[in-house]
Amino acid sequence: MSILTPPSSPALSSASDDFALLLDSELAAESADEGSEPAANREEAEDLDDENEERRKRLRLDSASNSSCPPHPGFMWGVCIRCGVLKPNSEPGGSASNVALKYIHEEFELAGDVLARVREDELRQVLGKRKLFLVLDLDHTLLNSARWMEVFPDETAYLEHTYMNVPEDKIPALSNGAPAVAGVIQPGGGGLHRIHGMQLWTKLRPFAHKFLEEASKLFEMYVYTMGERMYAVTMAHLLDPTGKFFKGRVISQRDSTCRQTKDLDIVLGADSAVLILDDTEAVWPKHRANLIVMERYHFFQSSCRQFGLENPSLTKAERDESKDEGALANVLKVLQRIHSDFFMESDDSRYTCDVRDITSVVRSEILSGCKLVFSRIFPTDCLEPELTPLWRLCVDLGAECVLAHDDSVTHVVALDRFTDKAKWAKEHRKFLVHPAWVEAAHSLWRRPNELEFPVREGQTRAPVFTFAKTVNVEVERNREEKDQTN
Amino acid sequence: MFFHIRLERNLQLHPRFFGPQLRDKLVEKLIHDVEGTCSGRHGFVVAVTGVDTIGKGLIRDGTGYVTFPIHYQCVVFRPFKGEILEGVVTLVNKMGFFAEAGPVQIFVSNHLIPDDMSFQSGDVPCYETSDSSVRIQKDSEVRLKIVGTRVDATEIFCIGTIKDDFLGLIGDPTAGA
Repeated sequence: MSILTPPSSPALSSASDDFALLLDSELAAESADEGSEPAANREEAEDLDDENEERRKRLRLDSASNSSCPPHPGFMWGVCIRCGVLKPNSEPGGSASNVALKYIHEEFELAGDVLARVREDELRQVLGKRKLFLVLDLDHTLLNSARWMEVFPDETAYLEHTYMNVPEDKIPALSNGAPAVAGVIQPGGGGLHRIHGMQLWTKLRPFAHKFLEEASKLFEMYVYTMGERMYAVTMAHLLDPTGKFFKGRVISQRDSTCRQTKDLDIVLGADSAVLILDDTEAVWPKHRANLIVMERYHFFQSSCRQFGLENPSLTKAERDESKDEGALANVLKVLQRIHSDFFMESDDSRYTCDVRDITSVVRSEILSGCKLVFSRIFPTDCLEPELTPLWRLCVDLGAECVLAHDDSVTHVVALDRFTDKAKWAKEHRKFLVHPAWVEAAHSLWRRPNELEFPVREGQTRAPVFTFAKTVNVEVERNREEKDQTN
Repeated sequence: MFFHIRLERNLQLHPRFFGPQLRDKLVEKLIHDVEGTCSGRHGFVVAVTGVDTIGKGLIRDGTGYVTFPIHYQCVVFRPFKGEILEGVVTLVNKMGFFAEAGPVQIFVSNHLIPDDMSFQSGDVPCYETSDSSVRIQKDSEVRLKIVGTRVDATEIFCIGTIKDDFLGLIGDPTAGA
């Protein structure tokens, strides 16, 4: 066809890329060229013109059906996904209503109302499968990472000796699928990995894989981290090698709508059905009620240094969290309880429960029945001790807090053994506990043994700073081997 | 749509190639530089079919490199709005699916997928009619119409639809028509 090789290529350099119009104009030009023909051909030319006119009418109708589009539902690569026009630079509706869902695709945006509908649909679907939503943090919650240059030689030697020297058959195979930037990943025992491409050591928290497996039966899971995308994707691959748990639902810092905080706006679900597992409260300012705070996993010395803690990390103490009684195992039981309470209360398909209410009910059972009085905890000039974090925590945990002691008090929380109230506790055989007992209750989701939190003379610091059960690594490994051979 | 057009390019050649094979080296460099690339104006260059003329080389001041203007003919592929293409599905998610037609990637959003097809998540995510007669999943072939394109200096992005007549899954006797 001669239209395809004109020297100036008007077809290709035209601003309009509408192919049909292009063909039309070329055909019209050709039929105009052959204007000096006999009448019979002129009739044919007229028929051709009529056909062209009809085609143009049809085109106009087509574009009319897309004229429902000025509220553009979304954009991919800056092109409207319904009508195909380019995203206008200044939209009347305000492009602030578009939410960038970068974790689904880097260039994908949805309008606010369309996103709301998508979230409702997702919520209905997931609840229909009898599942809720679970958003998981990575660092210090499911794993602990340290850069090679932050790990000193003695710690490196310990890691290599205890974890990397494990025989090959004890190490679960790592399937392909890690991002190329991660380079070679050397897996070791106990969930420790050496990642060459990023120069990182990563230790998965004990019970992590089992936790994800069990949680995936009850929850649709998201990863939400403040780290970089490549780091997030690599860690998600370590936790979920086959991709079946997260299925690409990995949100990193650049996917978040705000740089410093996390928000549930890009999670496709409703706030009333999402639980969050994170070690930091401050990073979820709008969703504290959905949050279950986890105790931090300090495996590497650099992690303790980062938080300014003087206590030894797990590598220093040559220990690790217990698999079956550690933090993840505990929190799994809590999640299972909340899940079953949610679906028990909403048997019909209406699902009017709110997971936040259920969580606070479960939390208030931890110290229910305890009546606490505080000694030497609040400064004497403190006008409203009821507003201090410790008091509020005790109330959240279900305990009753009073200012003066009487016979119905069950616990005295003190920092000093020789105060009036402490002595009164000893006389009346009430429990005398360090405030860390309350924090332990919050971490462990059960009432801790009061005898483990005594008030020692001259020691105002907490006797322990991590409450999850830890075990000696060698002993635990020998025990596991013995269990397997039996 | 494919076009066979005549383009011009300035090639820089290092003096080490000056010799009896100069012209061959130029053609080799042209093919290496240009094939597989995309320009917003012409589209994706699929193959160089012939070299028309190679102009006189101009030595650049300060370096020994020589610039040759080359006129050549090549086959290019440029998608247009309204064009109908066949593509292979590469990714399916709840927002729509991505298909590839040669070098160009096209996104078909769920707004432009017929209402009787719905997204089924699972091991193999797909779009399926309620009676499962038509299923679009990864590696399916589909016929789609381009609804909009965005042309950058070096990339072309397309949005497509399968909502019209005769569009949709191909290769299945019960589908599409």
